[in-house]
This record gives sequence, structure tokens and C-alpha cells, in this order.
Amino acid sequence: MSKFQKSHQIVIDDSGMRDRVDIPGRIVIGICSIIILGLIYLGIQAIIYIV
Amino acid sequence: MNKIDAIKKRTYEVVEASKKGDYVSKAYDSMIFFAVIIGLIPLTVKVDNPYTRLIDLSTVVIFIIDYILRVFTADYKMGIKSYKAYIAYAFQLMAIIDLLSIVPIVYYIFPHMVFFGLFRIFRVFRILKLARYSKTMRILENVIRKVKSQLMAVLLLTVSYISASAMIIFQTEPEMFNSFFDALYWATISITTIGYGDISPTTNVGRLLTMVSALVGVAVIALPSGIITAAYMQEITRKKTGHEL
Repeated sequence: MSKFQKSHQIVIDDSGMRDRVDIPGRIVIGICSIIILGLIYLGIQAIIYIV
Repeated sequence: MNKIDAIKKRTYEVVEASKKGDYVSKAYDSMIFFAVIIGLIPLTVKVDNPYTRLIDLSTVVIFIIDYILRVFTADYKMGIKSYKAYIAYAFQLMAIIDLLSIVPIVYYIFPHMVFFGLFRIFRVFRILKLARYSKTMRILENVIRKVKSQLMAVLLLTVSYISASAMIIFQTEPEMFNSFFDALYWATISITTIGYGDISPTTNVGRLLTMVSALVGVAVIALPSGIITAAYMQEITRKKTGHEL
């Protein structure tokens, strides 16, 4: 397999994976991301408060 | 497979350690990871502030939901389609750790009960939740399970020696110790070769016992390390050979 073919293969696989994340999956990813951001915000604020 | 089973199976895949390409499970694992790490911040302060309280409350809520989801999918985890799976799951080590990590909620429900404040120390167990996501930790868990009997034998030997030396020193130097607990404390500190020096023997018998304890301690401390290291190396070699085959 040539270098171009290899990179092309990766692109196909990658987009395939993305397609497999259904709507409920995307919602879960969204909720998890919001919670992670919220926790990071609280963590930073708590450290600032302590310092 | 009906719809509820399909949801349950997918939930099980999401809450367990993520597989390659499963972005939903990866996002869930990352959320738990951040909740564990940030949830430890309140343990580093003497007096709570509004942010640490909010961190405490939000992480407890996350872990309660996580625990409910894990119990809900216990039949997939245990591989049995029966109510027995839920009972068996509750007694798994990781399930106990999950339960201990949500115990601090009792303090928030009954804030006026000072005794329940002690439950907040269980927050430290949350760090063990990370073991679920580490391959190396899973190997270590298997190794410890394999050499459990040898470790138990060493533990029994150590506890017997500590008890015996505590009894001897308590009888030979009674004025040194207020209670037998003090003698046990001295014996443990001596056998582990820590030697704080807050309680030190004055008689020759006591000093001789301290010397023996220090020498026994070197062997006793080295034994479990040796057992675990040997088993760990064996496990790594077995895994490598398995891959090569």
C-alpha cells in the first residue's frame, strides 16, 4: 500500500467511526463535555479561592 | 433483543472502560476521570469554601448516577441474566469502592449530624475508581489476586510477631506504656523500621526486642515486595509470550 493509499484509508476509517456515533451518543458526548468544563471551572475557582 | 436490552447493552459498553473508536464511552470515561481528580480538591483544604462544597455535591451526584448505571447493567458485567447478577455485583471490589465514594452524600442529607462528617473521608476512595481505566492497574489487580494466599501468610506472620513483641514489651516495661494499644503502636513502628522515637525502651530486654524487631522488619517488609514483583514479572512474560504466539 502506498503512502497516499495509507493516509486515504485512515480518512475513510476515521469518518466511518464518526458516522457510528448516533444522535443519543452525540447527546451523551455533549452532556459529558459540559460536565467536564463545569468541573474544570469549579476546580480552577476553588484553587483561586484557596490561594 | 428487545429495546430495553439494547439500551442496557449500550449503557454497559459506555460505562465500562472504552474500546478503540467508541467516542461516547471515551467521553464518559473522561468525565469520570475529571470528576475523580477535581473531586479530590476539597480534601486538600482545612475549611470548606462555596466552590469546594459545589465540587463535593456535583461529584457525588455524578458518582451516584454512575453507580446506578453500573448496577443497572450488572447482568452484562457478571454474564448472568438473573437477579443473582445484581447481588454478586454488589460484592465486587470495584462496586464496593463505587459505593464508598458516594457515602459522603449522607453528610449533605444530614449536615447537623457531626458523626456523618466522618463519612467525608471516604472521598479518598474515589481515586481507586481510576484503576478501572488503567491496563497496568488491572494487571496488578490480577497479580495480587494470584498471590493472595502468600500475602495473607506474610500478613499473618507480621500480625503474630507484632502482637507477640507488643505483649513481651508491655510486660517487661509496663511503666513505658499507658495501654496495650501503645505497645502495639511501638511494635508496629519498630517492625516497619520507621522508629519515630516517641516511645523508646529503657531496659536491656526492651532494647534487645527492638533490635530483633528491626531485623525481622527488614525481612517482613521485603517479603511482600518480592512476592508481588516476581508474580508481576511472570504475568508480563506470560502476556508477552501470548502476544508472540
